[in-house]
Amino acid sequence: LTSDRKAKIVIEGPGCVSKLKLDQTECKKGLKIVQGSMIIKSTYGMIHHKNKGVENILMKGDQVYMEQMMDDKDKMVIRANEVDYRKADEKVYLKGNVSITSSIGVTTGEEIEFNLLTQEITAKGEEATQQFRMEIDQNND
Amino acid sequence: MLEKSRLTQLLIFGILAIVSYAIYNKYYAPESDTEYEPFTKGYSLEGVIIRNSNESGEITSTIESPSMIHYADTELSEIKSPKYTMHQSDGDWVFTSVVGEINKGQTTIYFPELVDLSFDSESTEAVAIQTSQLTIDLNEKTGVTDSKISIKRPGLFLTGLGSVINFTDQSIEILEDMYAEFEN
Repeated sequence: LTSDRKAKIVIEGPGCVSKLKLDQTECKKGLKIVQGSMIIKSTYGMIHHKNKGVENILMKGDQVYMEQMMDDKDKMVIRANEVDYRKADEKVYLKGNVSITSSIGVTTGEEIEFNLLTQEITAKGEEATQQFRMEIDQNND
Repeated sequence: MLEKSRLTQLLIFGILAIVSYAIYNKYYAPESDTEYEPFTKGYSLEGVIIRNSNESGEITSTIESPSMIHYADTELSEIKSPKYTMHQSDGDWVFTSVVGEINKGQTTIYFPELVDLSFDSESTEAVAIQTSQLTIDLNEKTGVTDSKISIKRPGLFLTGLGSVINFTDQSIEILEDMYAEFEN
C-alpha cells in the first residue's frame, strides 16, 4: 500500500547484536519486519541504520517470506533465498529461487528487482542464467 | 523498720528513674541528622571521587558519589548515587544509578537498581541505554544483565530481555525478545 511507505518500521527477533560503531544490528537467529501491510520473515537479518532510521536490510533464509497488500487490496507474496530491502530506492532486490505471486499471476526467476512504489518487476542478472517466467492468470485481467 | 522502708523507697525511685529514661529515649530524644544504618566494622566516605589508572598512568575510570560505605567483613563497597565514567579512546561511557556495589576484588561494579548508560563520542551517534541488575566487569569492560533493556538512538528505539554489552567494541547483544522501531 502507498501508506506503507510512510509507516514506521518495526523489527522483532529472538536475539540480535547492535554494533554502535558500525551502525548495524545483526540478527543471526532470524527476524520479522513489519512496515504497514508489508511483512518480511527470515532466518537471518542484517540491518544497516544510520542518520535516523533504516538504510537497508539484508535478509536470508530458506526461504525469506514477504507479503504486502497492493493498492487494489490484492495480496502479493514474495519468496526468495535472499531479500535486500533498500529503503532509499524503495526497492527490494530478490535473489535465488525467486517467486512473486499475486492475483495477476506468478513470476519466477533467479534475480529480480521489485519496486515497492510502482510495483514494477524487473529481471536482473546476466541473460544466460536468468530464467525469467511470468504466468498470467487469464481470469484476472 | 525505718531502715527497711528507706531501702524500699530508694528501690522504687530507682525503678521509676530507669523507666522514665527509657520512655524519654524512645519517644523524646532528638533524632541524629544522618540516619546511619548500623554497619559492621569498616569505614564510610563523603563526597567521593575515585580515579582509576592503568600501568601507564592513564585515567581509565572515575567514580563520583556523595557517600560510600566499605564493609570490612564482606569487603564490599556500597556507593550511593554513583556516577561511574568509563574513559575510552573514542568516547566515554557514563553510568548513573541510585546505588552501586563494588565487589571484594574491585573487579566488578553491580547496579541492582535502574541504571542509565550514555555514550558520548564524535564518531558514533549518541546512545542512551536503560536497564537494571547490571554487572560491569571492570577489566573486560563488559556488562551483563538478565533484565529488560531499552536503547535509544536517533531514529531508533529498541528493547529486549537480557543483554551482553561490550563497551570497547560498542556492541550490545540482546539475548531475547528484541523489539525495534525505526523512524521513517
